[in-house]
Amino acid sequence: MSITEQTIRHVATLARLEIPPEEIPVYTGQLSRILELMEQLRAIPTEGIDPMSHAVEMTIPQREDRVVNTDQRDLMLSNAPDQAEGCFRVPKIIE
Amino acid sequence: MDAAIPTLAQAARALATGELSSVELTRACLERIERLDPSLNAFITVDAPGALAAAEQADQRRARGEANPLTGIPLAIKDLFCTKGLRTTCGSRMLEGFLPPYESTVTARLRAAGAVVLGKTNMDEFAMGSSNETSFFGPVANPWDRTRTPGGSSGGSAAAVAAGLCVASIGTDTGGSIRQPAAMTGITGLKPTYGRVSRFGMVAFASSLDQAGPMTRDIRDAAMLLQEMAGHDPMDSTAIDTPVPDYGAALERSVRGLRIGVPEEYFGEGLHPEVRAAIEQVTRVYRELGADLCPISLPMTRHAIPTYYIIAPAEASSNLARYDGIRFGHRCDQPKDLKDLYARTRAEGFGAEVKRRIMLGTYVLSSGYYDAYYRKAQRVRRLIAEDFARAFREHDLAVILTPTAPETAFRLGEKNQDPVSMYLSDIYTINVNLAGLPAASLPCGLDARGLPIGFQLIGRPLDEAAILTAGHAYQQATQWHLASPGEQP
Amino acid sequence: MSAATHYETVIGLEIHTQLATRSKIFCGCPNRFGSAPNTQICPVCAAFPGVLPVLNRAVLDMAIMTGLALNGQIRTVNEFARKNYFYPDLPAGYQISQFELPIVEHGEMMIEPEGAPRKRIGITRAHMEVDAGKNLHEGIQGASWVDLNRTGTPLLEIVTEPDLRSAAETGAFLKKLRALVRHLGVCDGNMEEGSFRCDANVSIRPLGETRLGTRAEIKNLNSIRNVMRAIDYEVERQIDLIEAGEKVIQETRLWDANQNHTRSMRGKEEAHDYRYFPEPDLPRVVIDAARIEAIRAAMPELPDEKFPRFQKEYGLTDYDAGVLTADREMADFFEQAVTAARPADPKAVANWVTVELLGRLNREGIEIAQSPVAAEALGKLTRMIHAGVISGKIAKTVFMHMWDKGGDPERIVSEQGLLQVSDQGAIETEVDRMLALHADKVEQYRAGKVQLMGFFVGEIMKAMRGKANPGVVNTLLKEKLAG
Repeated sequence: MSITEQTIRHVATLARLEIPPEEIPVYTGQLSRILELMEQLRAIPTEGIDPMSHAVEMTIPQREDRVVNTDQRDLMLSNAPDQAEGCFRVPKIIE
Repeated sequence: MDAAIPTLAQAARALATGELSSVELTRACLERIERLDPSLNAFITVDAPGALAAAEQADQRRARGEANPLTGIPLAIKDLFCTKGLRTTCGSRMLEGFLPPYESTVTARLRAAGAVVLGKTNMDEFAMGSSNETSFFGPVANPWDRTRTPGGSSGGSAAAVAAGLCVASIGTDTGGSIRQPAAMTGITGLKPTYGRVSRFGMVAFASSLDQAGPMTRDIRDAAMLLQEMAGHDPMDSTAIDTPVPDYGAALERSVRGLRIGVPEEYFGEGLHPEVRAAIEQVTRVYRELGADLCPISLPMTRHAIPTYYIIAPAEASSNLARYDGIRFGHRCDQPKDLKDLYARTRAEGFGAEVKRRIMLGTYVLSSGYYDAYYRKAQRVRRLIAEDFARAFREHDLAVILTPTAPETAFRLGEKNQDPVSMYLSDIYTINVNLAGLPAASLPCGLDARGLPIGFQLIGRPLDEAAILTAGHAYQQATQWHLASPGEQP
Repeated sequence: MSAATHYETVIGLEIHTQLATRSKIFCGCPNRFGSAPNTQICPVCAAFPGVLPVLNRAVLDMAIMTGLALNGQIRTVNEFARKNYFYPDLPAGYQISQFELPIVEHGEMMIEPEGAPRKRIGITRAHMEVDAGKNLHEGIQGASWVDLNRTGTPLLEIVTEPDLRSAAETGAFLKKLRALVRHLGVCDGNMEEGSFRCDANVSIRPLGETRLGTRAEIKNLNSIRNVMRAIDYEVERQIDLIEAGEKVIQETRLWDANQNHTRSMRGKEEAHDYRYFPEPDLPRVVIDAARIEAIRAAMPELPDEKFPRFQKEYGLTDYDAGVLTADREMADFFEQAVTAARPADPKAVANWVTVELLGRLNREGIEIAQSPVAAEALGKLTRMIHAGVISGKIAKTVFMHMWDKGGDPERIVSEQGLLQVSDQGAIETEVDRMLALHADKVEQYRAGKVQLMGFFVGEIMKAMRGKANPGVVNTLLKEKLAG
């Protein structure tokens, strides 16, 4: 299945990736080729098969409801590119 | 063999007898890194002061009589394990200056055992690649031929072991990233059962496929490292809570009567004749050792590549959404608004292959395509897993034997313009991750150019021991694991 | 608004309840409101590279309990899924939620709207998910700040069927749901602090039409009153649109409580494609029947069950039973008081709780949980009246004392010397003294001015500082006055 440049632009928006206009055809071509590879799956009968989302069948483990963490704000902010007053700073969000 | 750097077992013995100190061994590794790594580029970060301090502590610990086999052993760690306060880049510009405030479970366990961390090894960016060429920090050269790739994504870890820059290393494997580079650099690499080793602190690529494992000179060393790495971790909900057997004991078992399956689908079109010949030679060795070889069929094999390249990018597209330039990592200059912050930060921080996979993964999960791609792939994934389960059950197999890669190390630049041909180099390893099985690659020959060839042993779920038994018997009977690239310029 | 009578309003709700666990849903950070920014975050809730979620057992227990209380089916195999979108308050770039396999489905709740018959409201589903952090804007120039303290707070999102037909029904539903989650102890129900949040999907359709009209999703509703006002506004807006020949657009609208209207968020919203898929970091949630039964057994009695039991067991009126089962604290208080009051009549206890105690609590704006008079103490007080140890009048004095200073009624009575005098001799002495003192009034009484009885009783009680047993006083007086 081949995809259009418009689809590529839409997917790039969803993925929050800026793609320069000249690269749009490159992505379109490469992704189309990769998706061609996927086509062979269509022919496999898979009705009634439980989709496998985990490599190992197991039940979710659960921890006890205990507080074990204490304030580590300085450490958590130590990698932040921009911060102010104990917060991560971002461009103004308009709501 | 090149005795510059001993194997883990040899080093452990020498340290135990006092023949060698950890500081001496660590210095020897650091000296070799300094001398040889400029042409290999196996390390992104070398932590000489940290390594020497750890080595000193290890020697003191040994003097107190509190050592275990890993105490004082210098290791190289793939740069996707978070190491507290030690830069962790994942081969990406995005994390170029990232200092994790926490330690991965794997490295924490190794450090607790007294192992010495020499530094962090180069890798394909976010482990996405099969040649180490997608690294922001440049490709790694194969110690056997510096114009060639060491494979990927754990290319730095593989090259570091092959070139004797460390005693052993740790890699990760999502679709073959331990085994394929192990095969291409003539070392032993083991990917445990999914869930056998904790993923906590491993930067995620594809969460349902990623697994950490040892990369070593021989299978005995792999057993020693796995013994320390394996086991339940309350911080990883997918880590299996089951006892870890004594892997040393598994090494000593005989392969007489052991049933080994050989799947016909792994010997078809695309397999290089020299690799085929080497694998056939492996089957002869096993027959001579008294193992029972059994032709089998795994008919779903050919669907693994498309299945994997839907599931892995889908999970990756979500896992990599956290790189937004807000809490850590790269951030673009002067973002004019929120959208610009995201789009430009991510466009600048990620390389081409990572972006391609994020795009692919976003697409296959998007509205209208989910059922056709993602859900379909998950169903086929189950069929692939059932394929293996049936073969193991019906033929009562201990392991399955296959080639690790269709060819030996290819040239740097040979495939990186064509994603599909690059993807196909993982054709024999990807199935194993989809099924969650343990598997190892072991060296079994050199091609006409003198490049290493590897074969793969695939085990039943949680039965790494069978792989160790079969692998050790082979290495006892052959010399290929002793071959070394020597010190080429 | 004559046009309004031609339309039917259809409302469905999505309610986010913050579960009152000690720690967050997937990490060991405290689940607490109001701390300094980013002081309760860790690599897990702030989504640093390589970290992994581990489910808090209590979240699952609370979700199951709420599901049972909503008479829903608990999915014994359910799964977490990732909902993918970018926003600064969502550090991972995805919200761990539930999508195809939620923990609760097919629930229901009965509502009793004022002046209308009981009505069943269907609960489509309830699912576990993580809350997001907060983006701060106010008073910040040229930037927004991100506080991730709230990130990772466990939520149970409850989704109703479009069964509600008016603001009044919606208000009744929300009040009852809020009382229920508080009663179960799974959520504090505080809408202003955001621990109980509601989005309303509102549409209208011509009467008799069975298809749903185009809906608007109303957000930013921080009180039940605002939910009701927003619905009224929105219904009017939609009717006006349709009457004017225009169309309702499917969109998200924000309620502005100051301006008293909803406004469109259109244009500021991205096209959403959440790309849900099963969370690979968390195995499926498998719940065995024994766990469900254990939770059911440990569940506090529901208000809907409590009401008839209170009527039957304690002989309460509709009114008293209604007041005393309105919330769990009230009901527990009453039952503790009844136990302490035994063998006094529960109705007497109900009277003390609803009249004296609630009257005072309401006047002073205090919740029953903070009552200065303990349930046991109030029960004891009732028992003392029943036993004739004190009179009802003295009891009120003791109650005031308990309100002001707390303490045990028996001790107060003895320390203050308020013990009722039932001793015939002591009372007779006082009666004789009083009758001698007021011989003129005795004459008048005997001449037929029987209303003077009250005067004699009052004087005797005054002289005995209210402690005389009024029954004994009455009997003796009548005897003596009869001559």
